[in-house]
Amino acid sequence: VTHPDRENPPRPLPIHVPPDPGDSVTTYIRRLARANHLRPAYLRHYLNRIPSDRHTLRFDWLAALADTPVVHLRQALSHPPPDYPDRPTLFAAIRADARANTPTIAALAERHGTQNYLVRLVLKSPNPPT
Amino acid sequence: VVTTLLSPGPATGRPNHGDHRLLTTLQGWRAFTTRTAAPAPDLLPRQRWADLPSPERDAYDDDRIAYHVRLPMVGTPALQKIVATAGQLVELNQDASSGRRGLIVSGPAGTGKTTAITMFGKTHEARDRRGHPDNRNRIPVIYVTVPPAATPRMLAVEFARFLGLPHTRLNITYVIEAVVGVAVDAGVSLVCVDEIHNLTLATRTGGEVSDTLKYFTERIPATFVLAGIDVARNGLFTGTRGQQIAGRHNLIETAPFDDNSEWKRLAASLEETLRLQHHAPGTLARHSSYLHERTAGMIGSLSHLIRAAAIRAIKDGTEKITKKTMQQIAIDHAAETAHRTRRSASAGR
Repeated sequence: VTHPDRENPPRPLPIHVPPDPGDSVTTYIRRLARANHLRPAYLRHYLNRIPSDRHTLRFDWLAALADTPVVHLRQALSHPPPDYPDRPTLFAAIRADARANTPTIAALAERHGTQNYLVRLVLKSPNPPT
Repeated sequence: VVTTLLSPGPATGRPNHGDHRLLTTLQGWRAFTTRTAAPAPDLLPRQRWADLPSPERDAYDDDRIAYHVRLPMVGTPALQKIVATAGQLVELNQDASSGRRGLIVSGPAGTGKTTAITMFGKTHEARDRRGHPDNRNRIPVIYVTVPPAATPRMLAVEFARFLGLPHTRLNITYVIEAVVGVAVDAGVSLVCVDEIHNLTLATRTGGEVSDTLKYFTERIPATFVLAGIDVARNGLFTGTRGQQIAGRHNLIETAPFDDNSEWKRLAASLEETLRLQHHAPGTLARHSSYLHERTAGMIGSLSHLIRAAAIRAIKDGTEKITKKTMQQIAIDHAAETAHRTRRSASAGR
């Protein structure tokens, strides 16, 4: 099943929720979903870059749903993830970040907008599943 | 009462969507309700107009064409009745926890049903906004249309789409819960449902769509105003479901105008809004019988004919509407067919 409106950025959600100080992407998506009577998991899934890929987030779509310019939302949220075009780019960025900064798995996951287990996979295997 | 016809307005929303022009999206509806009628452009003195150099003349013409595209329209008695009745129902319903009454507007195509309910929605939204000026999350009005061959999910999705709620791969229960939750939180107090003739109670799916609509009326504490083509004749009030609808809604029927003094006044009022350099006042009132013959008394067809004739008159430089100008304008098929039938009947006599 494909998203019929995949090509167009979504329209703003009816209930506007400004980001709170200290909101991460995850907490902000949760608050935005709940205010609009949607399940947070559904909204997170809706923001996947491609429907089957749970590991990249369309930050521009999140900004569109929040009716906030991308730049402002990036400034407002703590550790906003870079907007990766595909999974190999994401994996390369995680590996480079891990080599340069040696942060924790959780910090890497938060910084790159993905989940802990995927960061572990990326660091463990040279060829993680794509 | 002077109202404005529905027409594309300036881009205020997201340009890549074009949603600002659709009444069935929140952005489009807000653009419509906040849009004020453009002031009528002042006509230049005849000599100054004749001496106007080409670029300025083009700009002057463009302004007037834009004005005639959205020509202000005189409120009809039917429109005034619909606005008054719906306003009364909203007041009566505002504290009702159940058994809220709604309004059904029924009549042939082109008799001003959509114009009337959207104008009422616009008035209601403006009143609500005055009471809550700083609340950007307030949504006083929802406007949706029943899609052709609708299923319950399609109707629920129409509500979700108006609000801007994602609905891809959500089942109908979640869609309805999200719509109702947001509608309650956002203070929705008026729901306009257009094209209800697409709802056929004779079929099982049609009955289920009707049940879904009824469920929305129970869960959303708002006044529901429904509009559609000849709904009584199309069976909306038959059977148990139909009786339930009939018992909960007032009915106002819109009809084509007769060729009488009221029609003549309508033509004269429309004529007053024209901004053409050489138009002779009284022309449209004088040709009111011809206008009635052409449009079959349909307000929508009349408006189209006059606006199109005015724009043609600006473009071809004649700057006036005559019977000949109007004869060159094609209008909707229904009115044209009625016109041809009447002509052949009178020729045969």
